[in-house]
Amino acid sequence: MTSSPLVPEISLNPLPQSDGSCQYTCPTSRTTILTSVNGPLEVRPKDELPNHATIEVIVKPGIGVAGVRETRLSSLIHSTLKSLILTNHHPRTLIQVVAQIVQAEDHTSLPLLLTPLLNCTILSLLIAGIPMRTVGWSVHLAVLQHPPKTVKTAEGQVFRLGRGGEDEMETEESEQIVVRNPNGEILGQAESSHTVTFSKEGEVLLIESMECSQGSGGQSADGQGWDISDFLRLAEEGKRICCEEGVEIIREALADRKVF
Amino acid sequence: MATTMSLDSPEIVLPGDYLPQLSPLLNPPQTDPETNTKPRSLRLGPGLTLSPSTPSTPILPYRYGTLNLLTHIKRPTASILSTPRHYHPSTNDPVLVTLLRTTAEQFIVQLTPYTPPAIIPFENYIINNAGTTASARKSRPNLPIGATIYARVSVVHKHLEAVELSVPDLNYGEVISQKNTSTTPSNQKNSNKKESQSTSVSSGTTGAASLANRAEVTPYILSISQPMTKLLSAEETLGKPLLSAVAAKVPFEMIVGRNGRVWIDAATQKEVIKVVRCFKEFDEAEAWNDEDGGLVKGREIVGKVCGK
Amino acid sequence: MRLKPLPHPSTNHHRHHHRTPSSSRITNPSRPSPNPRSRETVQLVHYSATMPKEPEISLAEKTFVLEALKQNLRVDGRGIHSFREIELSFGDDYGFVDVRLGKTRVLARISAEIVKPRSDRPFEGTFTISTEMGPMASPSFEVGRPTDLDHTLSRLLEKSIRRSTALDLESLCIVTGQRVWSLRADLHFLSHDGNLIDTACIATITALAHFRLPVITVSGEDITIHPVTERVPVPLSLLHWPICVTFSFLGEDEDGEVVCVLDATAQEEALREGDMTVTVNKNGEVCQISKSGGVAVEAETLMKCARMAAEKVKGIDKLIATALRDDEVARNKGNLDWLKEGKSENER
Repeated sequence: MTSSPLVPEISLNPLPQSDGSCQYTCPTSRTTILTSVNGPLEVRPKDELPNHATIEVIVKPGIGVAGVRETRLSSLIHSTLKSLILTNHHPRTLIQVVAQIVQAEDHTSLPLLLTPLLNCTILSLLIAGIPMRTVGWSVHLAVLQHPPKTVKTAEGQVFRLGRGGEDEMETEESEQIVVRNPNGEILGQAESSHTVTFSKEGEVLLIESMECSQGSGGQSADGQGWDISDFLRLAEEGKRICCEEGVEIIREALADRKVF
Repeated sequence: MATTMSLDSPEIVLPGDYLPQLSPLLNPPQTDPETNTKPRSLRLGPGLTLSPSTPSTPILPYRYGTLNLLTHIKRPTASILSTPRHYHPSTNDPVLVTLLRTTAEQFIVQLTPYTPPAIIPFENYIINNAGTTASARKSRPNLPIGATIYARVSVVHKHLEAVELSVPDLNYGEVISQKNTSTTPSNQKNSNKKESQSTSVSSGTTGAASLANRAEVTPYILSISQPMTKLLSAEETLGKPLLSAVAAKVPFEMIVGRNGRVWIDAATQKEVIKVVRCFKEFDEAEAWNDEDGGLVKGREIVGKVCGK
Repeated sequence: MRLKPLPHPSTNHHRHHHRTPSSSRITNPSRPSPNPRSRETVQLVHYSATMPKEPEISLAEKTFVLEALKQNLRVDGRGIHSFREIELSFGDDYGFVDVRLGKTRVLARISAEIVKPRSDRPFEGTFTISTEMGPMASPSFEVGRPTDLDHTLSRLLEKSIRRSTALDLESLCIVTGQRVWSLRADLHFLSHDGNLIDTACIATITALAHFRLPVITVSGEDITIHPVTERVPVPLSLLHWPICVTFSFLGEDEDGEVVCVLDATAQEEALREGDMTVTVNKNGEVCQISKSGGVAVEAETLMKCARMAAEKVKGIDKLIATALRDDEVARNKGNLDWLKEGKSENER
């Protein structure tokens, strides 16, 4: 597991003063995120909720000041965390999450940042001991049509969407591939990009899909959309990755933490 | 090494994990007619919560850690052992708090930074052996702002405005912070505390003697992480290697507040600083997370700070 | 610098400039007085109602720290005038540095883009420093609500680095009046245990010295940016390295003189009565001195501080240079390996 190119580099509690923190580096795109979690803290009166903790998510860009992209990212993370954190355990308090983009191939690409941000945040919530209903994991999948031979991928990073009822040979010949956690170069050639996030139990937490206008070397027309049955198969595989491999990564990251 | 570790340490559970070990305890057998014992209900400690939405698995962990199931005691208790850095107050915890201000009915104190202040109502503040409380204005101790009070958590409820603390007897109360305080009562106070929470750590009689002779030494209040607090509180087990290593070099006294604050006193300021540095550097290196519980790292730090 | 809790009125607030030596010694908070203090107190109450509180420092800690200073001792065992160990590490990209001073940690990243120059300065590129703090460093920093520390820090970096013309802006010109490089330094404050100013300055200077601009060729209207893999990128034209050294004034020594400590921790900063930042380069040239209020110090002390800063900066300058050289060697080693690998592949 640990030697796989699909496993992120995780360092728990790199920040000495926060309640929980995590540094996460995506093995393929080298996107590095640092998150800190503090809580439950004293909440500002205007944000106080009588029966729940207030969750605050701040995404700080690596370059420049926070703008629309960061607001979008933090609202996506916020809504994901809202279904994970048991906010009724600490009413009238604040759970504060700050995510800093440390390094990114492309500081402007939302899909390349979202998966590392989500996974890093979930790990730091765990290490901070914030009450959670369950844990989740996110994976970023890019669909490439007619991939050029030059696409460099790591072992195990590529899979095909098997079509039910058809034999193995045919799927091998299929010209559509899915790349897990693509880097900027691969994403640039992708037809569509899907960030899927599932809970440990297999519930959908977040699906953020988008059409990539570059689309496979210009062969597919813009705005073509994607096939729903392909998408369901993709989501199914994403679910397997999150629930099996993702949860295993979390367990392994926490395995050497002493508890007493 | 990895295999021995996995044998030694029980498996890590994640929030929402199903805990099959708890199932037999949930539906206890009917009262045994022979022994006439009552069915034992399971008590949930920190880390476990009742989940009404999933009737098949009603008890779920809400944080990561290992399951700590105590069945041998009168009332079986299950909890999730974990080492978060944040302090969650729980009833009867001894704590060291800082006085923020005094109102007409209570002392407002700081339990941990950036969290809502806690309160010590005057009627919870016992000032003498007869059990007189600080309710009467005359008997109220005149504490300066910033004073450190050794107290006990008496009421915690999530829907309560503030955590309520008490000073239940003379072992608690203000912890000396002025250098002018005469040495005799303070020593007495500390030796009283020793029975409850304070630990006098020294490598022989020399320590106590030097402490009695101190002229203008002031104690220090150190802030540490929760795992470190647990380590120092368990002075006979987890904390023993570090505490005895430090005490072999510097005799000192300490009071551990579960809210991550430690009162440290020694013969000279230099010595207090040595103890403080040993604890701080051990904590900052997260040495308690080492495989050996910080044994090697602790010795290394003590050697560096106090000399060989 | 930071918000002072009311109980310690003798510790001064950095932004208040109207301090006379006599008033700085007053310790009674409730004393109604015609001196400037009353106004400050009102202001402090106002602040504390709107900002998250700094943790209260206990009397025991305060007494201990001040008593220890009388014997030239600091709680972390350092000498009065010694810095914590400065750790520098670099990322994969040029112009990215991670600086640690004890538990204080600051990241700096330099980025560059091509823009049209300002019409009044057609020969010059631009350089901006962004220093927004967030709650990652300390829950008392709020996003979108700059603290006094934010203002002080950005003003000091502006004075120390930009106005001391450390960076030759004319060297950033590509086509006069048409295209220039616009550089920006983004500082990220990850952990705050005092002395953010010196740490931020070291981070910015190191990142600037580490940064490489891609090579550009201009032919007529077209500008070609050569990727790093094609042409070796070039370092910036840094004329000198101004480094901030902040002195914190707190407590008294045995003679009753105010003690000045270097590289204060957050605890010492909370207890200090004044501070002064001196920016010097390794040649001992003073670029900037800033002392905004606080306890009054003798002119002589100021001279002593300036000399000490010059001495410290020599060491810090050397440390930065060594770290940069080591990183350069490590990078080149990687390149050589890569070249060798390429060669052997070709041979096959």
